[in-house]
Amino acid sequence: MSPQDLTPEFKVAVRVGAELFYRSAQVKKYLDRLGPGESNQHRLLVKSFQLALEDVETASISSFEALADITPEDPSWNQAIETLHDNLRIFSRSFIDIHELLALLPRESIRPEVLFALEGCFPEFFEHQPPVVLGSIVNAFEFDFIDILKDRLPDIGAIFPEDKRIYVLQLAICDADSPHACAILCHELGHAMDVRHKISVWAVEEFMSRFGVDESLRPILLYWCRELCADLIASRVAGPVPILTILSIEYCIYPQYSIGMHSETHPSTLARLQVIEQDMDCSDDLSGFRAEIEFYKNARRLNLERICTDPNIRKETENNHRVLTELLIKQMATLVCERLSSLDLPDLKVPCRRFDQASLDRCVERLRRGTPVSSQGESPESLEEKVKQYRKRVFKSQEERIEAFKNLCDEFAEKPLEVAKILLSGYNYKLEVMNSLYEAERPLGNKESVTSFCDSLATLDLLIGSSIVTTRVHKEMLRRLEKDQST
Amino acid sequence: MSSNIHQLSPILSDIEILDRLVTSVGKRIFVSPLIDPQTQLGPSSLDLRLGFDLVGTRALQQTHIDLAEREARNTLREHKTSYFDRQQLDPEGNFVLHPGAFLLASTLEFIRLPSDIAGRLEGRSSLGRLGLQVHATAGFVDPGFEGVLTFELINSGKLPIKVFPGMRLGQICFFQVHDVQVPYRKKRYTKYGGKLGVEFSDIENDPEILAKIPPS
Repeated sequence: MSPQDLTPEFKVAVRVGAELFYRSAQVKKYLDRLGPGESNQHRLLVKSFQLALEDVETASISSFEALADITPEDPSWNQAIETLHDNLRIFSRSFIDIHELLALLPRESIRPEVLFALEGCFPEFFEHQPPVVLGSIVNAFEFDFIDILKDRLPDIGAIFPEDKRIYVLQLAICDADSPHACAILCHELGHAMDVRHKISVWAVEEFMSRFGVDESLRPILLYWCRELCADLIASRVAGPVPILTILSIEYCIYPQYSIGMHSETHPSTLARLQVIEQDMDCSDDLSGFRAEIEFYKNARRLNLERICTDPNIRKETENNHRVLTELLIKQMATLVCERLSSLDLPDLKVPCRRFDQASLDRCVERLRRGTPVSSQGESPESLEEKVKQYRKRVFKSQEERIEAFKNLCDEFAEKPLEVAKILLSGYNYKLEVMNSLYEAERPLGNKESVTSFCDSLATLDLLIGSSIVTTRVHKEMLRRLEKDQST
Repeated sequence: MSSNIHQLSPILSDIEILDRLVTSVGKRIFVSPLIDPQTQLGPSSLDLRLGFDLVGTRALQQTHIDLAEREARNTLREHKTSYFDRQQLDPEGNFVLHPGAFLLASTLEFIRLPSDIAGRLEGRSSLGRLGLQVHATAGFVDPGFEGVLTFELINSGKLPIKVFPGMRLGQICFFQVHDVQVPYRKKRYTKYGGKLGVEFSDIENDPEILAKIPPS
């Protein structure tokens, strides 16, 4: 099969497979780390999970392999695609079920870089480190622990002060080692910020009074507005990575469900994406992800075609979706933005975050070469020129030369990168690795290529995780140096 | 045999180090993060900082390590995670190295050497005078190496020494080497290249050790 043979439907299947294989590999590594237990008490459980994952992986690899040997013109192509979809559906369902059953095993602590990443994205108002635990894949949610305690233990409710909040965040176990997957937690912290500042409550009230909306719609509007608010806050502090992470998770459930439609509790992912696009319209940060966004829109369309075969019903569904998005969701989002701009929260006022494209490109180049991206200084080309200029100079005295050399050294100092930029460059490179699958002769068509692909992403995880911790040490060192100089 | 057969290659001076930090990619020395180059760059060396990955050792029930004995070797491999004790230092925290204690620590800097540059890791004399040694055997950095370096820390003084991530713990000097045929990362048996943290010893996989083990 050559890259030109990849139909849009097959490309989406490759993407779905890639996301599932990668997360499955992460779970297997997690199980390896857990091991059988000190008394071998969960050896059988761990072994069972590992075998089950191997089994569903093997079936999907066989389907990809079968397609690699034929072309779309082949009479057996359609049947092979259907078989692939069936196997991916089984893979998706089995993976989700296995993932949820991991609750039977002891859980690791969260990696420190996850907390550092959150703190890096919310530096001004990350006052108390929220507990972050590993948990379910479908519920990377936050909950107010005090509310739960009060609800379950009403007799001791008086012990807790009224304004006390303990927001517990959950990260999926399969994302434990993926720092840019933890960008999803920025969305969850966005919920916490919303509760504190009552942003969505205000926005819904404003929307209902401005447009004369019936009171019966308030509950669903509140649900939707909360999600939009959390998305917008996350994008303002961490750029486009949080919303793109949601797309990544959605590919894992793609074969099972209809994606991209509004539900009772959430606006559709497409609508949420469009809200972020609208808010970041003045930013170049999304420009590198246009292709990814278009790919998702296409995947959504194909998903709808598969689930709803009647074109008239599809057209009506899409029309309803568009009307709700334009007249309701985007309007509420505008009100949320209005509210964010009025609050005294500098990091949330600005609707877009400018990262210099050249700088971002340098970060991605470093990742391609397998090096971390915790800091950045002037470009090597610029510094090379400065060294040349220094070498050409004629100095009147040794003191002058020493002073000039010290100044030259200072030019080489690197600054710690913002966590949002590290995550952004990481995600950029992740998409490169994903897209490289489409250039392969047999995408995901054998165990070696799947392992090689998963290893590439695992290496990226290590690089990003290391970068996040290193940048933190770097900032601490600068703080100490500044303190020394001032005293 | 000539006594000069292994003559040392010239050590790079400070300006030559700066040159190499920015030259074309194939010849470039990569060191990052460079936090305070004016302080870190010496006349012919570059200070390196303590990272955040530490590995200590714990006593086990075994009486010794015999790498050539199959059972002991297997035991070492299986119990590596209990023999070695890994910790991640808090970026704002510190660690106390007690007298006689031995541990492995990563550098903060990720380093990549081109195939015509070798490195030599040394301690800083100001810390050496307190009894803190930063390497016993891991001083030489091969041409083509990439990854974080490992400090082998031993406190041979009488008092505990507190260290913290980011402090300058060692220094590396760079040597020009010529005509390397197989750079480190292309070697058949590289154990520690490309790593982002301290690696446990992998000695049991050395070809000589493997060859010595009697058939089972």
